[in-house]
This record gives sequence, structure tokens and C-alpha cells, in this order.
Amino acid sequence: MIELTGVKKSFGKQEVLKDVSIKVDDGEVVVILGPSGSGKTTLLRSINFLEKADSGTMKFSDKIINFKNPKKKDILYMRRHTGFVFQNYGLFAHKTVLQNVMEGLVQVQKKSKQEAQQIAEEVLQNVGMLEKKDSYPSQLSGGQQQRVGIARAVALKPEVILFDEPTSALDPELVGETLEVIKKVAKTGITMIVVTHEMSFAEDVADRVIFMDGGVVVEEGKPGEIFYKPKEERTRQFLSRIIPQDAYVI
Amino acid sequence: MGNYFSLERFIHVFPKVISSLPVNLHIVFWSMLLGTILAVFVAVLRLQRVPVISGLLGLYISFMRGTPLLVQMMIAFYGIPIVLGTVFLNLFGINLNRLEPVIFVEIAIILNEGAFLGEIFRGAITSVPAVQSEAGYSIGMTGAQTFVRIVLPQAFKVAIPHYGVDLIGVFQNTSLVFMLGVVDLLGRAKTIGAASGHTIEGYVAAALIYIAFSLLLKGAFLLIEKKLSGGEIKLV
Amino acid sequence: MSFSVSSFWESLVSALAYAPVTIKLTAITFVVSLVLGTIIATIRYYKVPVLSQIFAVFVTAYLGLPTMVALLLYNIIFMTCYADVANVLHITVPISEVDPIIIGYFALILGTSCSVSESVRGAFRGIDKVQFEAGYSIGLGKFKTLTRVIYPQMVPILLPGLQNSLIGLLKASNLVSAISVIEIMTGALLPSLLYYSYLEGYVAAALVYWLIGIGIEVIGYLAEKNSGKYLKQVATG
Repeated sequence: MIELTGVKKSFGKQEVLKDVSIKVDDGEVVVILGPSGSGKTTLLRSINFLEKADSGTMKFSDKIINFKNPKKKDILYMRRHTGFVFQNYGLFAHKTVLQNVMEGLVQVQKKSKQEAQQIAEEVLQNVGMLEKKDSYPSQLSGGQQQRVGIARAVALKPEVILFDEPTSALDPELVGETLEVIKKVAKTGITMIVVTHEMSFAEDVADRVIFMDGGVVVEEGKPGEIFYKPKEERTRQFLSRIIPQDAYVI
Repeated sequence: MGNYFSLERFIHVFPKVISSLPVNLHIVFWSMLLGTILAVFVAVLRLQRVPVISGLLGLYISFMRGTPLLVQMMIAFYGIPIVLGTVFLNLFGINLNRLEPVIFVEIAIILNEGAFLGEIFRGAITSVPAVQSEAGYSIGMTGAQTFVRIVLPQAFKVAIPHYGVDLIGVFQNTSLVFMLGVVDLLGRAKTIGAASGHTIEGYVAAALIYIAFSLLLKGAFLLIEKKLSGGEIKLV
Repeated sequence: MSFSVSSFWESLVSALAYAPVTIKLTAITFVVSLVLGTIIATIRYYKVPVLSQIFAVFVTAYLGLPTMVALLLYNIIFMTCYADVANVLHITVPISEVDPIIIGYFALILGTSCSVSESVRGAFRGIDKVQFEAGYSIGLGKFKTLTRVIYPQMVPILLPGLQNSLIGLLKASNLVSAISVIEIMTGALLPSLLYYSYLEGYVAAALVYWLIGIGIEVIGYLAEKNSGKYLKQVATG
């Protein structure tokens, strides 16, 4: 279980997160929606300490971490028990596909090269990228890179995987294959927090949807509730702009 | 033309001049080795942005960039014995006034390289996209692991061409050391000229050696670059 | 021996008195080299037969020649050949009356033109082909397209590099001291010769060079701020 309480974050004078609290249960798939600038990406990055939140606490397993002055040990603990999938893939540019996936297994989890390679190849097989294992990221399409990014996160067997708009940098025709892979990961029962704009994906996969706007959680609920019976006006407005009208009516 | 330049004299002089090339290469080797180490410290310290140290390093780099190397060499030659002379004499029993001038030349070039290479390294490190470090952190690497395994290898590739240009520059800068009495390529050409009364041939020999060796170094670095970019197509 | 403030002061005053020599040498060399370098680069860009091949070989080789070696070589050629050449051309000025700085100009202009031509060649590569076509499309000739469209667009691309070249040139101009031209460094040493206060002289020279270098950086910064305007509008708009 992962629970954030009272998270605040400002960039200079701009308050990006104003007292945000969310809770995600084990095995739950949570999708965070919201317009750009709503703070959803910042919230996600704060969990992995890629962004340093100003205040608030995080409860993870039996640990309680204060965002104000987190211990180095706790930061490392969080990063080692969560995976992160980047919007622009974030593959190590100087390493091959296989090396990208093995890097954490060998360097962080101290597995032997053979064991790491075995795990890496298995995971790459699952995302359909085993054939490209010796390619460099620059030789792959965006969709292929993102599948490797997912494999790299999954291979480390984290308790939670955080997805930061995993398909928003992709060409439209490559979005589908990437979402299929994410769905496949979701079916394994792992806890996931996904920031995305893909509504149909959210509807298919999410156990719960959180809608954020202006640095606060506006409302949350089951996908059906949020998409078809939103309680808040702001949610309604946002959805009407994103979901085509006919789909909204159904 | 025959009165001015004699091929016969040139052929006679060339081997004598080129026999001094190791003096220049010796200076290049030690200056680059120690200069590179110094530059890594300079780059890393500047990236840490420690208030006072950062300002001092900025001043140091500005001085090295803004003043001629010959002046720097002379300041090292005259200044170091004055500033550190008594300390060295009392502590180590070394009389700095007796040291070979080539040592001061090397000190000047090392300090110079600390600044120039330091800026090259800093630029290379900052050119690695932030997401590369973030990706390292996200898989649970420590800061040091991320720096050494992810950032440095990529920065290295960016720095290599600049490093090559800089190294050729250092080689060419060794043409100043005869001004302090070091008998290198030019120093040798000059002494031969003084003894024989014919200087042009020696200078032409030195010029050709500089040109040939510079091109050789340039080719070598192009090869290294090509090797390094082997498996990888340019980043999109 | 120690550092004498009064000697340093004397050297500083003397160095400043000769600063105009260095500044003039640097400025004239820079402007002339900019023109020559641009011409060389343009010839090579358009692959003008024979000339472009000659320049390609010459520039590549010449960039391997240190300025100091070039200076000494030209100086010795000048010293040996002057009398005969002057005789042929009916020049009556004796060699002792000729300012050796002209050798400095020659060597520095040649070297700087080569390196500038490389930078300009790089800038050509940074310009979209469509810009040429746009020039031709409104009826400009090749030359007018270059001067009205292409060269102006190169300025912001070249400026940061040119600022470095100019500081490099300022420092390289120091080498003419080796052929007995009195400039900032040798000027600073004039008082030192009397008192053996060499360190003071060299430190004074360094200071004057440093100040001029900082001046160039400030000017370069201002120029960069103004010249890149068209790039910035593209970026924000």
C-alpha cells in the first residue's frame, strides 16, 4: 500500500501541488487524469523523489517518509521498490536494449550477469522486444523504446510501477501496441499508478480514476462513475473536451 | 631562391631537428595527463556550485582564458620560485631556482588545461539529458552509480572530439617553450641556425614536423570518434 | 627577491601605453581575416574548381602550423630576402627602418583567415537550403542572396565562436614579441629590464590582457543578445 498525505510543492511562486492526499492499495491500478499543469506528473515524480516535494508524508509498506527532509536511505528504498516509466522513454542512450534491462539487475540488485540476462530476456520476450535486444535505443521507434522502458521497470520486480504519460510522446499508430503491453503488465496483479490521457485505456484497466486539476484532487472513483456520472463540474468540462461527444453519451 | 633555401642543408638539418620531437611530446604527455585530472576536479567542483569555490574557479578560468600562455609560462617561471621558494627549500631541500625550465612550462600548461578541459568536461556533462540521470535513479541507483555508469560514459563521447582539438592545440603550444630556453623542435632549429648561419632550413623542418604531426593526431582522433560511434547512430 | 609593488605599477603603466599596439594588431587582423575567411569558405562551399581544392589542402595543412613557427619562419625569410627584393622593386627604405609588425600582421592574418574559414564553413551547414532558394525566388542573384540573406543569418551562429577566436587572436598577438615588436608584454618588461623585476612585468602584462579579454567578452555578450533576435522570435512565436 502506498499513501500520500498533504503533499505540497511549489516551483518558485507557482504552487503546483496544494495539499494532495491519495491512497493506492496493493494490486490496485490507479489512473490519474487531469489537464496539463494539474500537477499529476509532479505528484508521480515526487513518489520516486525525481521531484522533491516541499512537505507532506508518504506511507509505503511499514515506512513513513517525510517529504520535507527525506533520508537518503529512504529515497533509495522508494526507488528500489518502485519502477518508473518515463514519458520520453529515458532509455540509457549508450546501452543496448538488453543492457538497459540488465543494468538495474546487476548494479542495484547485484544479480549475476547470467541470472540478470535470463531475467532480462524473459521480460523482453513478454513485451515483444527480444529480437531487438542488441539494438541501441536510437535505432528503435518510440513505441519500441517505450516497451523496453516498461521491460526495464518490470524486470526489477518492483512493488509499484509508476507510469508518467507513457504514450503521449508516441505517434498515434504506435500508441496501441504500447497500451497493450501496459495492459498485460496490469493483469499480473502489480500495483500501478498511471498518469495518462488515454480514456479508453483508463476505462479498460483502471480500478480507480483520480481526477486532478490546479494542484488538487477534484474527485475520484471507479472509471464508470468518473466518466459517465462525474460529480464535479470541473471534471465534466475536462471530459467533454477529451472524450468525443458520442462516446460520452453512451 | 637557391641562395636562401638549400635542399641539401635541409636534408642535413631535418634529422637533427626531428630528434628533438620527444621533448615536445614529453611536454604534451605530462601536461595532458595531469591537466586532465585537474580538469575533472574543476568540472565536478563547478557543477556542485559551492558558493565561494565556484566564484574562485570562475576567476581562475577567466584568467587562464584571458591571458596569453607565454605570459602564464613566464609568471610560473619567475613567480613560483618567489612564492614557494623558501617553503620548498626548508621542507624538501629543493631549490626551485635550479629546476629545469621545462617543469615550469609544464606547470603553466597543466593549469591552463585545467581551465580549458574543465570547461569542455563541464559542457559535456551538462549536455547529457536530465532524463538519463532520472532513469538511473528510477531503477534504484545511487547518485555516484548514476554519475559513473550513466552520465560519464555519455559525456565522454561528447567530449572526445573537443578533447582531440584541445590536445592538438597543446602540441602546437609547445612551440612557445623555446622562449624559456627549452631545446625542443624550434629551440633546436634556432641553435643550429645560430651555429651555421642558416636558419631557414631548420625552421622549415620544424614547420613541416608540426604540420605532419598535427594532421596525424587529427586523423587518430577522427578514428577514435568513428570507433566510438560504431554501434550507435546519432541521437535523434 | 620579492614582489615590488612600485615596479609592478611602473610596468602596468608601460604595458597600458603599448596596449593600443596590441589592440590595433588584433582588431585589424580580425576584420581582414573575417573577410578573407568568408571568401575562402564561400569558394569552398560552391566548390569552385581548382581554387576550392587548393584552399582545402592549404587550410588543412596550415591549421597544423603553430603561429609561433609561422612567425619565426616569415621573419627569417623577410630578413634574408628583404635586401634583394627591395633592390628589384627599387625600394630605398633600409631594413632597419621597416617595422617588423608587418610580419606579425601577415602571419596572424593568414592563420586567422584559415580558422575563420572553417567556422564559416560550419555556419553554411547550419543554414537551410530553402533560404538560398527563397533568395533566388524573389529574383536575387547568387551574390545578392549571399550578402542579403545568407551572411546575415550566419552572424548569430558564428558569434559565440568568433568571440573565442577574437580572444584567441588577442593572445596570439602576444607572440609578435618574439620578433621584437613592442606590444603589451614587451612593453610591460621595459621597466623590468632596469630592475630585473620580471615577475612584476609579466603580472602587469597578464592583467592588461585579462582586462581587454573581459572587454571582448562583454562586447560579445551584448552583440549576441542583439544579433539572435530573429532566432528568438522563431522560438517563442
